[in-house]
Amino acid sequence: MFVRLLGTLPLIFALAGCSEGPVFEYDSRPIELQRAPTASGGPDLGATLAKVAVGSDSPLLVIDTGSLLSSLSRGVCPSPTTEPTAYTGDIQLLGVSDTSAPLRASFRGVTLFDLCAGAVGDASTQVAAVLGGDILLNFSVAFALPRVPAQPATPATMTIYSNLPASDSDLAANGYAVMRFSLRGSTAAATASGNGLPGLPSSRVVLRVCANPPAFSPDGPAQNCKTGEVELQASGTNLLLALSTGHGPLVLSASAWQRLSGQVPVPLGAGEPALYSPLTTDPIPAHWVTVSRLALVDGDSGDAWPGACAELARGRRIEWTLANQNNGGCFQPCDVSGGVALPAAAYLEIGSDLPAAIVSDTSDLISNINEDFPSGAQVDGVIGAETLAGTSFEIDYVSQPQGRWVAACEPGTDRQTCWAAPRCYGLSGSGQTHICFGLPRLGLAPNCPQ
Amino acid sequence: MVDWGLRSRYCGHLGAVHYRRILMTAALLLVATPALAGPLDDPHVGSLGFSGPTTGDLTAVYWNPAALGLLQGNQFMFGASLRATQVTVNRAPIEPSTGLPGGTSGFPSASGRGLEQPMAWPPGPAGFLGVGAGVARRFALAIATYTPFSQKLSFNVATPTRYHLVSVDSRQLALVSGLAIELTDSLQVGVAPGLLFSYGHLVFDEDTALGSPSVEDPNAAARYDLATDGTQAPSYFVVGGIHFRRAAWEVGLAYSSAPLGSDGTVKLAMERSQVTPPATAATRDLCSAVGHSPCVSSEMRYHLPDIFTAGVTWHATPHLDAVGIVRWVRYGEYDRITIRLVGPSGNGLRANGLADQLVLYRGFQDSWDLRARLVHAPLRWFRWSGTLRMETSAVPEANVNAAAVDGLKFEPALAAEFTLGRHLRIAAGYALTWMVPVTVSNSVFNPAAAAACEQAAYDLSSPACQTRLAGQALPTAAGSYKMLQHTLALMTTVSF
Repeated sequence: MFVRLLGTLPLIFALAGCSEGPVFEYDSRPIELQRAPTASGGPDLGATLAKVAVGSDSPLLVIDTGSLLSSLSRGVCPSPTTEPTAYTGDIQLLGVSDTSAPLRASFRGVTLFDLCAGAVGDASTQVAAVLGGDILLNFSVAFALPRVPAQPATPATMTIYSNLPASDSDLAANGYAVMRFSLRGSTAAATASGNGLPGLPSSRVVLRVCANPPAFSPDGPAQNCKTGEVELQASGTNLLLALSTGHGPLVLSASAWQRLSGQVPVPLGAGEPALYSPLTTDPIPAHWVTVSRLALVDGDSGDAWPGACAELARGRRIEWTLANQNNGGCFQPCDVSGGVALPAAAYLEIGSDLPAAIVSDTSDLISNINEDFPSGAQVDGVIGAETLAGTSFEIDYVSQPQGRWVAACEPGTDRQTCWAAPRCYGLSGSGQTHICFGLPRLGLAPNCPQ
Repeated sequence: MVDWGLRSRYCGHLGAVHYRRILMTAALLLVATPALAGPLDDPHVGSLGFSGPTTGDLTAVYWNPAALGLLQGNQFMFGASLRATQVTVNRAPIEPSTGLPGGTSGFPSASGRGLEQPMAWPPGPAGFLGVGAGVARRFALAIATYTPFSQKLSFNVATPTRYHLVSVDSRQLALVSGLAIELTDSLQVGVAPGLLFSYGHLVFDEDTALGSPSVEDPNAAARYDLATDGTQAPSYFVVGGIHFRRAAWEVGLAYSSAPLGSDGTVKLAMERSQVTPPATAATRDLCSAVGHSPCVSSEMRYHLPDIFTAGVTWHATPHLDAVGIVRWVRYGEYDRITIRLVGPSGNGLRANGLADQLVLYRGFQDSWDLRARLVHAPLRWFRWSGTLRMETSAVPEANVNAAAVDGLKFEPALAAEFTLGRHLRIAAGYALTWMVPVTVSNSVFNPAAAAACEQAAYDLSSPACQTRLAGQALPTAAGSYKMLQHTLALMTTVSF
């Protein structure tokens, strides 16, 4: 009897100590997604959409890694001027298929905001709910965003996993570009108004980007770089961009565009389609341009970090050396430290002529993504789902101490369209070998004379 | 997969139905006769016939750290067991078109064998090594290593059990320090925090054509061979207990926790994983594209049970002791093994129709291990013991499969101990464990659920997809299961 009594204790304690919390149900199989248009009249390569069960209806839901909150309206849309309320509710996520809307994931007992999300992509694509980073950060979430959206055999998909078990080096060896990130965007609980709005965790993925770098081929000429010239030899513009699958195109602030192109944007919105963003209530006046190419580069903002464009240039020089080491290729002095070549940072390069929307620095969108940046580095815009067309990537939110963005290109993609360069670990001894940049296994390359 | 978010394991079942289930379970535990120990744990940690929660030797770090308080002077113990397991599986014939039991397509008998012994690397199971000392009459300190949980079984490669198990070698090596304090002349308390180092190697097949007419076609079987690279970074656990003695009676109570700080979950990084696509696949070597092997990373997650132990010793005469031991092994938490795999980019797992997330259903239940023992010491330098052990099944009949064979077990055991001089004791024992044969007629595994779930567009609200989600959409495990186990143990104790 005593043993039985003893055995019941944990159960009793468990019951006494329990509090409500979220329950998630998912099967880690790809969930088919629909895509919003990128803009009015644009291709269906925009925001990632699924459906949500609301009674017997199944309106659209936008899956937005850039949104700090999740929302589902409980009825009539409240006025935009009304401060939103939060409640504990469920999101029953339905897949998008031709014949049915199957329940594909369930997020029960989660904090939702009573908001009407409005339109994404264009005015006619109205969404009733947002599945935001606050929920997604409980998982490792994989997206496959094919370049040709209309092919039924290869729809866009999202797959929810509990974790991503592989180490950075194993992922790199298997062809993945791994970028570490610290989540941004937390907000404190708002109680001043009496509404008791809950605080939101940091869930926004912000990546370092080199915009408009020159095209590169390892068959091209060598790039020389003397000691201390690593930043001088960099080309392109360093940007800080938030990853948002709720947007289609690349979105840049006007000041970022000015840094990038040297041009002052024409008056925004003059006869051009507006940008429909899940982060703002109203459409945003935009000027539409193209950016030749982007490289998302692994790195941090430490003082010693030379910046995304300098890292990209170093990675390319190291790749050139390895590709040509049998023909006399050697590591440039600026890429060597202590007699050993530095590692090449992972990067994902995408091109070409990527559509981009230029919006005002004072727009709600740019203000929103900079809310937790009262000073210091500013987020210059967002990378949308269209920009990442032709890639598959997994956002490993649960990795510690930093999250990981793990990316690869669609099989068969040419280098100028998409190129995933895993981190290339340097060799310190002549007996060692490594596999980098898709090249055969190679030994130690020599350093160039100073 | 169901994640219970921020709730504890128990709180996870907080729906109204689950509340009722917990309350009912609590009520049943209070009123019901114990009806239900198991295929994973070593029931003979330390010596085979003398150790228990009231035994004052170094094995107390496992059985009941409080009993370390009975330790006099310094002690060193080294023990090794040889445990041979034989499992026979006779699968029921299946209907070739559906894979369901009841058809005409039969299987040959499958035989699985496992030999556990401590002389291996990573350190093998069935061993015990400890050193300890009584300090200042009121304290005792010890440090020991042993393997509380292990499983080793290997079937023939072409076995009919392939979709559930080809082979398994799972070990949890504990490194524990123990402290006992004598509160009064009759009452001791003890605690033994420890590290648990895990090692695993699991091989099984996945039927990539499940639900199609070619049911259980070996050409459609993908081989998953998943292994850790040595032992893993440890998890933490603790054992605590009390020991009370009065006149001719001794009572010991102990609790051994599941891994702490991780919701009881063991996470094994399986760095040496290989996945071989089926013979019918276009790609037979996933690693050829990346130029190195192995090229698959995976992680396995599962729960380990916590264990309550109670023991009573009655010193009937100066030469005869009667001992009763009960262990409640909370296997109910060991419901499934989840595995996430990551292959090469591009032509990887998914591109070849292979799963990168697997759930292996186990569906264990709590089990009870009851044993009665007589210890007779006819001579000052010799004693012997006879033990009869009964262990209820940790696996409900419907859930039994080649990877989880268990039933009601009976185990007679004999042991003898010789004292050589003033400092040395050597004990040896033998136990024969016989499992009452289990016939599975209504297997929880349903191969038709895979196709039905696919037809339902993977709708999680459909029963078929719930079956699949639980890891039960596998070839049936209906059939009969037999198990026999021989254990030979040797223990050396040096007192100084």
